[in-house]
Amino acid sequence: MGILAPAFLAGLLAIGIPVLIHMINRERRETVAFPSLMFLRKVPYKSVRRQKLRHLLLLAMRCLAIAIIIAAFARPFFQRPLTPPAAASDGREVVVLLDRSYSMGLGTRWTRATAAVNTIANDIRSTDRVSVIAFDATAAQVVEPTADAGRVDRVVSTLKPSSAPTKFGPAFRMAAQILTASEQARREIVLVSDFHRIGFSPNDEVALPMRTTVKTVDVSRGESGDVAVASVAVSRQTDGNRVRATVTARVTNLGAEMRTVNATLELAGRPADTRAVRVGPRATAQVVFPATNTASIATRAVVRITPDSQPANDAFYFTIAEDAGASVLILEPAGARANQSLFASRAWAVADDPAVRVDVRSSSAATPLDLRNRSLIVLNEADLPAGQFGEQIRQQVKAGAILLVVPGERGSVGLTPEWRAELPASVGPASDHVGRWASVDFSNALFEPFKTTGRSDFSSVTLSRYRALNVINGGSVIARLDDGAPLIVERASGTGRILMWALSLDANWTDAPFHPLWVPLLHQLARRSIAGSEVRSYFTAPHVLDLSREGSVVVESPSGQRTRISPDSQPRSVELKERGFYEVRGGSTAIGAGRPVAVNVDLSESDQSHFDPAELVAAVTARGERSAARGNDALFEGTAQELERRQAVWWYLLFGAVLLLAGETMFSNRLSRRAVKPPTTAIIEGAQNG
Amino acid sequence: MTAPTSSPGAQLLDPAVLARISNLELRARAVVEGFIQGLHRAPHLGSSTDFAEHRPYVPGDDTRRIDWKVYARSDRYYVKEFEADTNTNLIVFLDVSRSMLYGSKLAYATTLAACLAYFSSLQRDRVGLAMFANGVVDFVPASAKHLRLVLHSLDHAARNVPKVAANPTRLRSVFQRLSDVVRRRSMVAVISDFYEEPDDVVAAINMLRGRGNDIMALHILEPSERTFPFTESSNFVDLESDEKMPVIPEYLREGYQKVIAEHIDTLGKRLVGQGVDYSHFDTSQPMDKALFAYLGARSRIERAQKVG
Repeated sequence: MGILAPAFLAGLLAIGIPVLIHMINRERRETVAFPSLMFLRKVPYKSVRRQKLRHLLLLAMRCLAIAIIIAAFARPFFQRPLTPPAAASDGREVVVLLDRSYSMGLGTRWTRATAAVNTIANDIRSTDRVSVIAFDATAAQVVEPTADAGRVDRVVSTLKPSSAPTKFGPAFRMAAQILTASEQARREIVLVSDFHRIGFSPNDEVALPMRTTVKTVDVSRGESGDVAVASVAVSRQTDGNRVRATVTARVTNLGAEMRTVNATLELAGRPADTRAVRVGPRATAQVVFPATNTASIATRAVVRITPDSQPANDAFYFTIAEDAGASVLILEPAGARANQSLFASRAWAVADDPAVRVDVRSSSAATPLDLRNRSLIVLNEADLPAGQFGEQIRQQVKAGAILLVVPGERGSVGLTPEWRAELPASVGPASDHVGRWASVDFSNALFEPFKTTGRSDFSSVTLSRYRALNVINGGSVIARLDDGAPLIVERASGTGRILMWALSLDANWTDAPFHPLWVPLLHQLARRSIAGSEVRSYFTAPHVLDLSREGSVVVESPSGQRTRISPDSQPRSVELKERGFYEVRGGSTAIGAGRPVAVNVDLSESDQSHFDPAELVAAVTARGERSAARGNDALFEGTAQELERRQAVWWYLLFGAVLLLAGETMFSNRLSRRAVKPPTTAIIEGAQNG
Repeated sequence: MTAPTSSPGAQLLDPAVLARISNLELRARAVVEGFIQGLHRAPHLGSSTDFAEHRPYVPGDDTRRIDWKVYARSDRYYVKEFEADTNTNLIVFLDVSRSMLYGSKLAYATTLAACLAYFSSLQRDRVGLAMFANGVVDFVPASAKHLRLVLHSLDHAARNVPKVAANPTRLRSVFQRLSDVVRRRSMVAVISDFYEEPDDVVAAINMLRGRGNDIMALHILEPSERTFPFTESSNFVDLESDEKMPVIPEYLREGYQKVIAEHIDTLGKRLVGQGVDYSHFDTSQPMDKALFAYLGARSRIERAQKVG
């Protein structure tokens, strides 16, 4: 039973009103004419006795009527019990949360953890039930509720630490579901973990059922430090027709002692080079391996260090491919100014994430072969190509490439119908204007990374001249000058985009090439040109690999588990959970010849920051209590008819109050009739009528 | 003399029956004749035609009263004297103060006064009336011819409640004035509720007795004035003075009953001790009690006159 409007209960004070009336009413009497008061005055009078209440039944009826009316206005309602129906026994529902993140592979943690689970299972009585949830970043119930300790032992013995980091939230939520559905009298959660601090987020919504006991088994004690390969960077250098890659590995010592480890680079399964590296306590050291030749297809590469107590982060898997980044073609007009594309080409040349290949060609000398595999084509004051070459550019854009048109002083004045249908703006005359870069659409993908830096960074870019751009074909202006003129106009074409730039790409009209944002902006443009098609050298588990662009493929995990993805599969993706190399191959591709996908563990799990289990218990149980309290509100969920039915009790209360008041009226009238009326002062009726 | 209440005509003495007779004279006649019927006596008992004695004729006597038969035998003039010559005055002092307006007291009192007047008239007594409150409201001198005038005044008083000021009745001052008006020795019937201290009532009545009057004190009260049956807490208003008093009856009833019983008892004893015929009347009681009291008083007067 709950109350919707408890404030009305303050009205219960009104019960004092009939009590007061019953006492005061004795003072507010009817006037009775009496021959003389001389004898009444002679009678001793005790005023204290006047406080005694009379007609207690009448008073009780009136007080009860008021109480019922107030209770009706307070809108009582019935609610479902907060807890499941009373259990038939005193059995326990025990849910064991077993942490199998890869940090549990450190030392003897996993052994101790499984032993703890077995101990819990062996303590289970016949009336108890135990279930096991193995969790890392995700949670899975590996043992259904059972009283069979042997079954728990058998299942747990098959588990191994995964490659995923710790996340307590999903495990607790799944445990809450199990406990909520349980009819056992007592509910327990036993958390077996090494209690990584990163595993618990204050934002995790955990709502345990009321009166759930949370116990912990901490297996993190007595472990030594750890050395891990934190990351690997691959830089490519073109040497003639070959691309050579230089691998740089970062080795991190997470322990408190100086460590010296050997770092080995393996290419295609064979050691290529080994270097010794000395790493200070809680420090990072770099290991640079000599440049190696790359193949046209991705090559499997691994950097390994000397194995230690935590083997999961002692190897870093990645792939090296010849063409792993963006490719930019800059077309200049014949007779271009000296260094007309210098600032742009140099900015792209230094990019490494992704690496950008830049080629500058004269528009008159360019051939269709120059367009091959280009993700970004720049017409730097060159006229829009006509004919087959122009058509090839348009098709390449529609296939996903980006075309950046920079009219400058001389280019792109006249538009052919084909280009007019595609471009976001027509080009007007150039005009002098000393101004600034005024506004930027930070919601656009080109500027989105700069959102946190603030617009003032762009407003410090000055200019002296620009080319007028008149928006056509629904193009959108994503940057403007301080006089309101469009600076950058964008339009989608197929899966690619066409951008038009009102300034020059050199320092002729603007100081933008000298601005700190110049290089990041061009890198973002290059990054955007390969968005969706880039080949990442590695992923961090867990990761969902999108295979929607693939045909029928088979994905084989490092442990040999195969997943078949066909065009009809839903979803057309696979979760990368194991560290190592996955292989994605088509139906006719031989085993080992498919596209390798490298997966590494999340290094944050290697951070051995430990937190007190009691802190976690306090957090989840406190949230459970709060959630239970909020659950009162959740009980109101339901159809309008159901809500009305739950609150309909106030109608009955009101009806009861009306009946009670009717009875009170009848009873009161009866009392009034029973009261002796004083004789009237009228004379004999007959005499008056006469 | 037998008890009258069991007589066939006694039902006419019931106040409830009397209340249905609108004419006061008829009402009085019904009472008196019912009373007489119960006595089994001739209706003209005490008639003035009864022979009393002979006395010698003196000049100035009515020659019609000479007994010629005695003259024939004795050759002397003797005059016949009859009982009627010994008739007395009956003056009813009726309290019409505001306290008498309570319930049916005034109606009962006027009826009782009318009965006394009518019955007295049948006895050839002279009848007078004095109505008083905190002063003399109306006065009808005693006369054998004033019966109708008395009945008219009583009827008027019964139909039209006398408008008197809200001052308590003071019997002593009123009776002092009335004693000056009633010069001939009379039988005075005082009909009142006597809401005064017994000492004051006795003192007032003694003023009348001091003039040689015989006094009948007829104490009229409503039953509720004795039993105090009220249940609801109320503000009680004194009809005489308009004073108010909050009263919770259940807490006062017992004490009130005791006080008023003591008052009636004290008043009765004091008045009887002074030679006053005191009778307490409840308005629910038949009125023959008053008539018996009248007859008792009258016979006592006759005896006293004969002795004197």
